[in-house]
Amino acid sequence: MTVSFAQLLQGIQNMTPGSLLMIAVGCLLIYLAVVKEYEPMLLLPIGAGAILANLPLSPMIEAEGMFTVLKKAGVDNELFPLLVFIGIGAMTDFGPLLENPRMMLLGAAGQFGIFGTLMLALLLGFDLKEAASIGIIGAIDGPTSIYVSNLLAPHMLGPIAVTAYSYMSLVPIIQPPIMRALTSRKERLIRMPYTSRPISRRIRIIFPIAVFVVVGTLVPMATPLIGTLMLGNLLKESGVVERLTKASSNEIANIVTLFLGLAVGSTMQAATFLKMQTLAILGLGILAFGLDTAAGLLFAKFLNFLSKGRFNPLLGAAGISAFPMAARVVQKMGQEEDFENFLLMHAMGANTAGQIASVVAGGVLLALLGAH
Amino acid sequence: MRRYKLEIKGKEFVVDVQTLSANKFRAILGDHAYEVDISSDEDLAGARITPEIIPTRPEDEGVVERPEVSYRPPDPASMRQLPKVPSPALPTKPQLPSDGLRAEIIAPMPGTIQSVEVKVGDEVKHGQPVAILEAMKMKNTLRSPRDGVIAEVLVQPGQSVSYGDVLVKFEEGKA
Repeated sequence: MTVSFAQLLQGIQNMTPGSLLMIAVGCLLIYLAVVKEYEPMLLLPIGAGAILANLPLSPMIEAEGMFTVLKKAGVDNELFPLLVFIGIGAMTDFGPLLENPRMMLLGAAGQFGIFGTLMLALLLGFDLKEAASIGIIGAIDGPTSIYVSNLLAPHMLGPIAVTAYSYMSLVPIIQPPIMRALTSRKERLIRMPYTSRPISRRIRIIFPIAVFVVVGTLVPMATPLIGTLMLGNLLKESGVVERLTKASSNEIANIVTLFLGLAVGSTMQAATFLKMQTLAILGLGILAFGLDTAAGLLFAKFLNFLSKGRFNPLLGAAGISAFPMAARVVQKMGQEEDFENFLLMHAMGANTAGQIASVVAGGVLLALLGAH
Repeated sequence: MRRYKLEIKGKEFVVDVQTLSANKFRAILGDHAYEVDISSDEDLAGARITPEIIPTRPEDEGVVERPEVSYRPPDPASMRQLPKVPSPALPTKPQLPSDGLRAEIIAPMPGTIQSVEVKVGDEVKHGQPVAILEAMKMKNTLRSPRDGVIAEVLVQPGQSVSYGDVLVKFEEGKA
């Protein structure tokens, strides 16, 4: 009798302060998703996954538990972030970038913060692979962060994914003060009329294929990320596989996002998450993001100098991967100063360039650090 | 189509101007046609930009059907050789002057009109919302660049617009 009574209570007996705290963290993520609407598509499943995985003796994370199966099926082998990228590619219109190819430079400039953060993380005692995984947060690209950190530092996957997605949703809060600090009012007032240039269907179809080949050849490690991103875009621009495009951008992306969120959430267990390291990742992540934004702004100021004052430096902040949030922030700040200034199309070009460039940066890091 | 006769340093030129869209024109000079984009049409302070046009009556010249059809202007190459004279008082931002003199509001980028906030006859103030343009899934409020009275609304909610399409026209002179 006493034996079965103890069995009934084994859940309570196995509750630890750590798991209670992790359940609280899960609740916080759900709160941010529901009340603040911070990337709810990801933070809600991550939060729920964290709670379910930290319940005492949770069968979800046993050898054949659902979370374990999901993690093996799609996180450990990188499948889920790549499937998400097909969806992102199918939803992205690279038209503004093709109309204005020089925006590619801003996308590249926006990645320099990654390396600054990497060095700082090294100084703080992280090893090189961990430091690189933290640096990639600066690109504010969730799937890339998951992909890179899972290959380089899988034990930090949970905190890095949570940090990347949290900051992605904080773009409108984190970027404006940096943008204001690094640009003068006169610079923010520079008007850049939309330059209309029709992009033919042929170019739109050739573009993803060309990016496959060029990026894949230069940075083979980036091939899975850029390949899936551009595959999705090829589906969209081909115009002949509407059902595949819809499936990629809706059904597949949504299902995989749910699975990815739950699996990432389930990695957030007390033993690995409740460390000073996690706080350091949160701090370094925001620094990486700030540095990326600043690098983009400074480079855009340089472009403004070269163009003799006709390039609005605010556009530099759009050279990150958080799409379309960063572009919207640029448009909003431009309009705050002058309601007749419409930077949106230029910013979208820089923002899509940032998406491509952050994927390439991820590939470069993997190549430098010899993953696989 | 409008026909302009210009006299430059004693040489006479005939330019036919076809209106293609709000800011696109085709200028025909002899056998050559030029596509012209107008980025700004404001008056330069104190400058006269309206050329004096003396209308020719066809019967005066004895040609009734197509006046001056036999006219051959001088070699257009001579036009190109003229030195470029910079306009003295062009504003620094030619595309969107903010002097409040514009006669219309154009779409600043391609998108879909989500709503129109004004109707014909409305008095609007500088900065007042005129329409909401959805572009790249972002709602953008288009505000009036001047005080004025709305003379014409050329778009409806749900309509796709391209860059440069005229959305709203102001009544002239009612600032």
